[in-house]
Amino acid sequence: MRDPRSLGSDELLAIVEGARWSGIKGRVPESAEVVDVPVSDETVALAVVEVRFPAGTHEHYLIALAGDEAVDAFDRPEVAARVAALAGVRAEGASVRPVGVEQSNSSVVLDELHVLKLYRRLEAGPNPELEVLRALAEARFPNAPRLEGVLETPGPPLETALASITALVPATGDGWTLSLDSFADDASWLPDRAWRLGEVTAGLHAALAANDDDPHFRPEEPSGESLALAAAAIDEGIAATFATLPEDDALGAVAHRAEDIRDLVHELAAVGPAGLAIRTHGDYHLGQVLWSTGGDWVVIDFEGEPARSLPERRRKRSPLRDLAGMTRSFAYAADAALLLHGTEAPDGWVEACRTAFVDGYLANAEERLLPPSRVGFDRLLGLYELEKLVYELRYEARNRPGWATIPVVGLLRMLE
Amino acid sequence: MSYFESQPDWFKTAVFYELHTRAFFDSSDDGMGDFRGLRSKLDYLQWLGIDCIWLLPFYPSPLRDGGYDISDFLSVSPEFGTVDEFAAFVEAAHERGMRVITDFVMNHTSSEHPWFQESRLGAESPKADWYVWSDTVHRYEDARVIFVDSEQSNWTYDPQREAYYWHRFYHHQPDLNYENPEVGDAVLDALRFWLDLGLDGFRLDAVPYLYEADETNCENLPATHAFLKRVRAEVDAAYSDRVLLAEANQWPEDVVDYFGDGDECHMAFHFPVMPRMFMALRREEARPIVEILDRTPPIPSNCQWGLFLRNHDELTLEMVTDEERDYMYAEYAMDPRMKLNVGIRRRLAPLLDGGRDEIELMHAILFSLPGSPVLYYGDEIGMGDNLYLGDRDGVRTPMQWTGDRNGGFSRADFAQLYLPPLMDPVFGFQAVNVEAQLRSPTSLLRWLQRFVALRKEHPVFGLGSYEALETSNPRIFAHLRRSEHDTILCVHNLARSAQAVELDLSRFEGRTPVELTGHTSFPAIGELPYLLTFGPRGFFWFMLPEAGHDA
Repeated sequence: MRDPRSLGSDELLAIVEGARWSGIKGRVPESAEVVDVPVSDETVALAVVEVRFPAGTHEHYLIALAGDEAVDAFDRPEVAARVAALAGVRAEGASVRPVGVEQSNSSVVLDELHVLKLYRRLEAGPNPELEVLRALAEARFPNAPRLEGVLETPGPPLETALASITALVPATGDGWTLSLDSFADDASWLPDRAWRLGEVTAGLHAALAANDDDPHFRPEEPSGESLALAAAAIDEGIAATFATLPEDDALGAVAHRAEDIRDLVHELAAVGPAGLAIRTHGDYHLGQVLWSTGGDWVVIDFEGEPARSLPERRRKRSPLRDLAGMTRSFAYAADAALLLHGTEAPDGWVEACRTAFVDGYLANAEERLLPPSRVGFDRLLGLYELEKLVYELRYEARNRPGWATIPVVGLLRMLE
Repeated sequence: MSYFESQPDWFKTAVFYELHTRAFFDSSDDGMGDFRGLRSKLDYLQWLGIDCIWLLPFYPSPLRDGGYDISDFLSVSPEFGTVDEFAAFVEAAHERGMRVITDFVMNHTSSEHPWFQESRLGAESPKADWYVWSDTVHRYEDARVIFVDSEQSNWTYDPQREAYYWHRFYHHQPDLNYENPEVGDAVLDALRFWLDLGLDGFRLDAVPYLYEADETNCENLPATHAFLKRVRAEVDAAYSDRVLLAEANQWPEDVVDYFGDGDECHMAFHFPVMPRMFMALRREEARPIVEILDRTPPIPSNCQWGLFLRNHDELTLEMVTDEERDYMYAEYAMDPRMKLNVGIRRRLAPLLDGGRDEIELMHAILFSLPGSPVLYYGDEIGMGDNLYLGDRDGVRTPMQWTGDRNGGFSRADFAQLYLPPLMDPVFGFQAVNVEAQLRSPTSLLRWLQRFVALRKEHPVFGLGSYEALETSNPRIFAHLRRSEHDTILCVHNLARSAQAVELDLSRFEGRTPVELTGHTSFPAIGELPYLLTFGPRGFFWFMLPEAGHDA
């Protein structure tokens, strides 16, 4: 086994930059160096790589090395089995199957029994996924995977989680894939299950709000200006997005509407009491819910949005932000089916999913977590949907111009 | 669990925010701010981009000097909450990526501190030598009186002990006697008590005065430095990533001694630069700023200056010439009530007549200088002051959150508030408050939030070298901040009229300046002097990326 600290900057950057979990995209790093080797034995070395940028900032990534080659070896059975063992789960390592397309971690299914996740983008502090999985287990929330083991490092330079292992949830697929597939034969698949999804989501939030003794989970009355802070952040995002919007016919319909959208933020932020702020899923969409072989929804992946900082991902917020993530995901699914498979969602499909989901949620949600009036609820949900739409617009305009029509249509609908 | 990656020099790129717990937010409806209230406002400070909160003293105190007269080093004054609530606040700040330092007064205690009460009992008391006693006032006669408006001598007679005790500040603040090693040990124990609760460091109040010696002015003595080095060594030995910030209102060449060889204080305030920024603005010339920075010696690489526009004290004019002081009084303290001790007791916005361009320009200069900026609570929304309140209370009024009753600071009866909030038509809470400014994208608050974020995108502002540039126009302050891979050109127009300037940038020939706020490319730098034009009080910051590199 080669000493990870002997790897050169170019070798390290070659591993990190090319990886799909890399957050470096589009930027040119200055150099990279191994700053910690929390695990090193005959099978695997886990190394913390500090990637430095010209301005003087840096980011930390975790790589798994085996043998003498300078390549990431996490998907090798013996490596995955060894990491699982270090996390406290004995696995045979008979089979390893990569899963998920995640932006900040790598997951493999091990022996068709466990999901082993290696956290790639490291930040100091409690890992929100582990915190949430433990809180859900304590609250006996049945619709989330069971946490089986964890591998952590005390640092320096970072005290953080490196890997986790959960029991595999036997499932026919995730909500995104199954929805897209459903348009070919059974377009009512998701509408039929959306009410239950709302119900499960309400249960998720109730479980996250269940522990008054833990300061990290205790529901909090938001401060007077918290909604105004959120609105200001959304507003700055709109200004930044439209200032850098590329010239593109697909964007033409909204390109000149920035001021109208900013006005809408003001309108929607007039919510009144917003309900208690709680820990949330943070990156909730159809790809984060599995339809189990037992015929129910199971929620996975509690890391929060990978592009946000750890304090942001751990922040207590209105649970309606999760709802907005899911309702926007319905709209995406309908359009993605057309773009990817050429299958069309029937008229009213998105609205049917949204209505059933929201109804299922409201019928089961704890009132203290919500704005007391339906008007307030609709506005706050709208505000978070608008936040998502602006993020989608920025992302698609830069990365997938062909998809930009999805947020454009969504924004125009909200402006009507 | 630690919420931070280990980073011993975190303070070098940090933006600090100074606040009074008493003045920030009242969660208990008793008219005074408290730690639970402060905790509920952490999201606001995180949104603003603050890296480190500096708390003014919150220890038990008779409050005859804004809490700097401490009567118990190991406790929290009950109106602010409990030690547990303090610790919960610190953790909540850490969770949001913010650190917390607090004021600590080493030089003296309140005369109500049990140590002094014991000491004054007589020469047989076990703590007899914990303070500086004398039978005569004719010792240390070369030491100046600092609070000239209220004290005539540094000695005050105590009828109980029938002797004089030494005090560099108010007579109710007797100086501790560091010649007695027990005093140093006790103070170190107190520091450890707070560090063990997770506190990230201290702003050490009035450090130049710890020791006294005849035939000296009793400031900056070698024994004082030796004790501070001991504090640093003991903190470093037991804790990581903590910071000691010295308050030494002295000339830069004396202040740098407080950095030692990087083995004393991590940070020290650069006091003299601040009045010179105000002077430069009023005189419309860069010279006062350039000169004081020229006069500032280099500091060890693991140290940093603390820079500020205004703070909780008067705008101090101790470190200026008599002529400059007269000028400052004439320009910035037209009303005699504005003067206090050797300084001007006003907030930033009223000092600048509420001028938005001036406030932005002063922040731009502050953020561009080598050091870590320290913001004073309320200045981010342009709060005013109340000249009719005594001492420095006029700049310590309640934070203005909303246009509602008591400015949203407290739900107590108005008469119960520790100080009345500002209610004048220009700076009062109905005109100036967080709620209204959050709603308006063009407000000072929203501008400052964007500006803090901009500075933090470029660590070179905290870490890089500083080099003043010769300009063809004395009204323009231009300088470079450079690190190995980042070069930023900062150019500020101090005049209230439009100006043009030519800069010799020939060493950067071929580079294309990119303006930082809007990412606009300017004409490439050639052989000839580089021409820039400015509106009144305008400024530009440019990246100068090397040719072939993206900005």
